[in-house]
Amino acid sequence: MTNASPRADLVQSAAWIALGLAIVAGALQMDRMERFGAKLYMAPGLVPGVLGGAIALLGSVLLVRSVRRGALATLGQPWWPAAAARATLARAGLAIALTLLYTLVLVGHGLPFWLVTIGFVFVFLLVFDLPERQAAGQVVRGVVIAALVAVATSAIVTLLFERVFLVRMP
Amino acid sequence: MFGGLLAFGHSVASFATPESLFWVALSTFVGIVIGALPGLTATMGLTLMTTMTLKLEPNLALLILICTYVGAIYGGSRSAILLNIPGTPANAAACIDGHQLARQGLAGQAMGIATSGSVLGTLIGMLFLAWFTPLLGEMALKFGAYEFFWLALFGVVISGTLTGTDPLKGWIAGTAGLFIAGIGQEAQFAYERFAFGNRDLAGGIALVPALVGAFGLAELLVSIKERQGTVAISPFDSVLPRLRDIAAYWRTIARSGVIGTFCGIIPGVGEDVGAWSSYAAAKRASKEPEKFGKGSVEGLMAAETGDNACVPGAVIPVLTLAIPGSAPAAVLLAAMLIHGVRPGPLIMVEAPQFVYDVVAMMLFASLGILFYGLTLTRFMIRVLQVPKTIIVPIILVLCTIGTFALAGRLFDVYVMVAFGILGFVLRSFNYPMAPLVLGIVLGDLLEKNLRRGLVLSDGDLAPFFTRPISAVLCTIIALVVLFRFEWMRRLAARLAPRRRTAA
Repeated sequence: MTNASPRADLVQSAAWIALGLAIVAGALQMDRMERFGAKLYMAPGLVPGVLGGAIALLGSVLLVRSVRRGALATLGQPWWPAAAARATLARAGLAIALTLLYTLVLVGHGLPFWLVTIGFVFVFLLVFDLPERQAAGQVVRGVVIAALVAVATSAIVTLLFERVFLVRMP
Repeated sequence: MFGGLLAFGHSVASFATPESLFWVALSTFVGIVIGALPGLTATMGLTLMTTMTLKLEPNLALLILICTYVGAIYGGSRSAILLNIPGTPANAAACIDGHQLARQGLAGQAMGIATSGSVLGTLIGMLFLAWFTPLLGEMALKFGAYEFFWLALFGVVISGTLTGTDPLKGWIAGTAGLFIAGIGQEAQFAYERFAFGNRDLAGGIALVPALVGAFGLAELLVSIKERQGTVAISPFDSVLPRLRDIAAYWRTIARSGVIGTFCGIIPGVGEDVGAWSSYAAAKRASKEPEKFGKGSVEGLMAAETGDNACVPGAVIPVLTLAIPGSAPAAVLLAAMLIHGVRPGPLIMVEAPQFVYDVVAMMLFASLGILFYGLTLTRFMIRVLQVPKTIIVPIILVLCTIGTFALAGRLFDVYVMVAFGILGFVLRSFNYPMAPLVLGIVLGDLLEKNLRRGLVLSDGDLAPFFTRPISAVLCTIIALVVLFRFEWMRRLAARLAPRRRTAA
C-alpha cells in the first residue's frame, strides 16, 4: 500500500469529513452574540463553520475519488506495512521521540539550554550517525565527531542567540 | 523626470561614504544570515535590528533596516535551495525548483539564479518605487474588503493548485490552513474559538512557529526517515549568475518583477504571495511548464525575482499611505515613526528627497546581495556536503531556539513541534505544505475582510460578485478550480469545436 493509494485516500477522506463535521458542530455551538446586536453574518462561528463545511466537502470529493479508483476492493488486503517500510517508520518514530524529549521535556524545564543541547545533539548523532560509521569501522571517530559537533553546536547557538540576538534562553 | 533623477543621484552620493558602505556590508550580511537560518525571519531580523539602531541617525538606521530586509528575503533562498527549508516564508516557492536543482547537483547554478533574480527583482521594484509611488498608492486604495477576501482565497487556491501533485489535497491543506488561522480569539468580540480553555491557544497560532514546524521540522523528519545521502555537487557547477539564464528568461524576470512589486503594493499581502504569484504566472506562461517542480530554472528565477521585487513594492504603501505592504514592512513603518519620519500621502510634498533616499537604500541593498551572492555561495554549498545525520540535529536546535526567541515562550516551541509532526504526516500522504502555510498566512486577511464586507453590505453577498475587481478574481478562482475536474475539461473541449464551427 503506497501512501497515495486509493485505500489510504479513503481513510484520509473519512478523517477529513469527521474533522470538517466536528468543526461545523463546534461553530454551531458558538455564541452568536445576538445580545450585543450582532446579526447572523457577524457571528464568531460563521467563518470556521464555512471552512469546516468546505473541509468536509473536499473530504467527500476525496472519498468519491478513492472509491472510483477502487479503494473498496483493496480493503481486504493486509494493513501491516512491509519490512522496509517498517524500518523507515521506526527511524522516523525514533527521531520524533528524541525531538519530543528535547523540546517538550528537556528545554525550558530547569536544565541549562546549553547542557540539554549538548546531550540532545550527542545522543541524536549516536543513534543515527554512529551505525553507519560502525559499518565502516569508525566507531571511535564517530563518537569523537558526535561529541565535537554537540559541544560546538551548543556553544555557537547559545552565544549567537544570547549575546548577539539578546534572547533570554529557555 | 530629471528632477527625480537629480534627487536620486543626490541620495546615492549621500550614502556613498565609508561609514554607510560599512553598514550596508554588515547589515546585508546579517540579513542574509538571518534569512538563511531556519526559524529566523525577515520580520524578526528587522525587529532585532530596529532595537539595535535606535541611537543612529534616521537615514543610517533605515539604511541598515532596508539592507537587512532585502538581505533576509534573499538569504532565505540559500536554505531553500540547499536544505529545502525556506529561511523565510517568502522563499517557500523557491524550495520547489531550487532544491530540485540542488538535488541534481546544480546547487551553484541555482544560487546564481537566485542571486540574479533577487538583484534584478529588487532593481525592478526600485524603479517602480521611484517612478510610480503616488500612482500605485492610489491604485492600492481601490482595493476594498471584497477584493481582499478574494485575493486571500485566490492565494490559497493557486497555491493548492500549483504545489504538489494533487490539487484536491492542496485545497484541503489550504482550507485547513485557513481554519487554523482562525483558532483563538476573533477580532470583533474577542470570542475564543477552538481554544479549549487554553490561554496560549486563545492568543492564536503564531505564523512563524507553524512555518518552522511545517517546513523545518517536517523536512528534518522526512530526511531522517528516507536515509537520504549527501547531494552530489558538480565541481564544474559555476556559482556565478549566468547571463544566458538572464537573457533566456528576461520576460519571466520582467513579469515577475512587476507581479512581485504589485503584490508588495497590496497592503498585507507580502513577499510570499509575490513569490507564489510570480511562480504561478511563470508556470502558466512557460513553454516548459512540465519542468516546474522538477528543477525549473525559470520557476526559481520567477520566485526569487518576485519575492525580492516585493520588498520595494511593500515600501510603496508604507511611504505613500503609511500602510505596510508586508509584515517586515510594518516593522519598517514603526521604525520610521520612531525616527521621526512621517510617512503618508503628503510625503511627496513634505519630504520628496526621503523617497529617493529609500530608493537609493534599495540600490545599495541590491549591490550588497550581489556581492555576497558572488562570494558566499561556495561557503553555503559546503553545507550540503555535511551528512544529513549531522545537519538534522543542528537545524532542529536552531528551529527550537529560533522559535522560542520570537516571543520568549515555550508554547511557540510546542506549536512548532505539533506542526512539524502534522507536516510530516501530511507530506507522507502527498499533501503539500505550501497551501497549508499560505492558508495560515492569509486566514486572518480572509476572515476580517469577509466579515467587514458583510457588515458593509448588511449581509448582502452581491458586492462580492458584482464589483469589477471582485468579479474578475472570483471568476479566475472558479475557473482554476473547475478546470481541475475532468468533466469540466471535457465540457470545455466539447464547446470549443462548436464555437469554431459556428465561426
